[in-house]
Amino acid sequence: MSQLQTLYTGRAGQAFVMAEFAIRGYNVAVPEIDRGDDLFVVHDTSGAFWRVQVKTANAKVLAKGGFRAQFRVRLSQLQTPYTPDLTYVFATRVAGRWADCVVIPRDKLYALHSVDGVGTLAGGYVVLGLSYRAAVGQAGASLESGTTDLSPLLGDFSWWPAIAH
Amino acid sequence: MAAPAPTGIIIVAGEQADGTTYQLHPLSRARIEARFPGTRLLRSLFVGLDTQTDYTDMHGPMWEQIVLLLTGLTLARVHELGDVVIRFPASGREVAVPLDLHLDTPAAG
Repeated sequence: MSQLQTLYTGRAGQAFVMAEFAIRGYNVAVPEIDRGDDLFVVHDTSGAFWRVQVKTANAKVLAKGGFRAQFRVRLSQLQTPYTPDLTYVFATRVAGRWADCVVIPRDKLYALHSVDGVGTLAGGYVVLGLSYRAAVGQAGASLESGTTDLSPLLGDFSWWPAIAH
Repeated sequence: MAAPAPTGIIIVAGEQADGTTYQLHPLSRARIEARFPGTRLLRSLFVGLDTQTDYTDMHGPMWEQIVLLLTGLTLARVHELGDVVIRFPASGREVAVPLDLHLDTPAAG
């Protein structure tokens, strides 16, 4: 994929995730200066605020069914706590559709990496290979990285319950 | 494959303009949970300060209290687990936390 196409794919993933927060009733903004955060998500009434980093990948459809996508996150970012802390949202495009996002707070992903061995280190980055066990829109979707079941992370926007305006 | 568990307790810290966020390293967290089941561990702790000078003057003396708050353990139990270090991943700096151990402290926690 060309660098230009990568840029377009990344912005499309960001827009997809922004739409998910907006439909749940949260305000969402893109920082003017790119310093690592892709989105700021705000609960307008309470002022609660979240920093979100969106990672987007095109998946490879697997012959045995399902599909696989690969992402990478900077190790030093993964290791460092801030307040408010970062949430990663992994957006996967496959066969012309978006799969359910994988939503995970930074510290939870760091624990999966350092305790459970999820992801591999390469050049200062942690590379995550995510295997989806069902096609988009099919029931019974599951998600794995190596031997770790990550299914509970699929579409898990539970930190952001829908707000009725 | 998961990394080998380190000895002692590692706290990771992130410095920002208005303070510092402290958090137990996931392996240290797992170690404490295994050794002292039911311990109430904090997810993270933010210490807000007005200026960088405040940080230099205040955080060092506060580190022991930060360890106790994050782990929910007594000093005696923290000591059982070994040395405590605070790691700043952004800079690679690592600081040993001297524990003022009072062995007569009740070992509850």
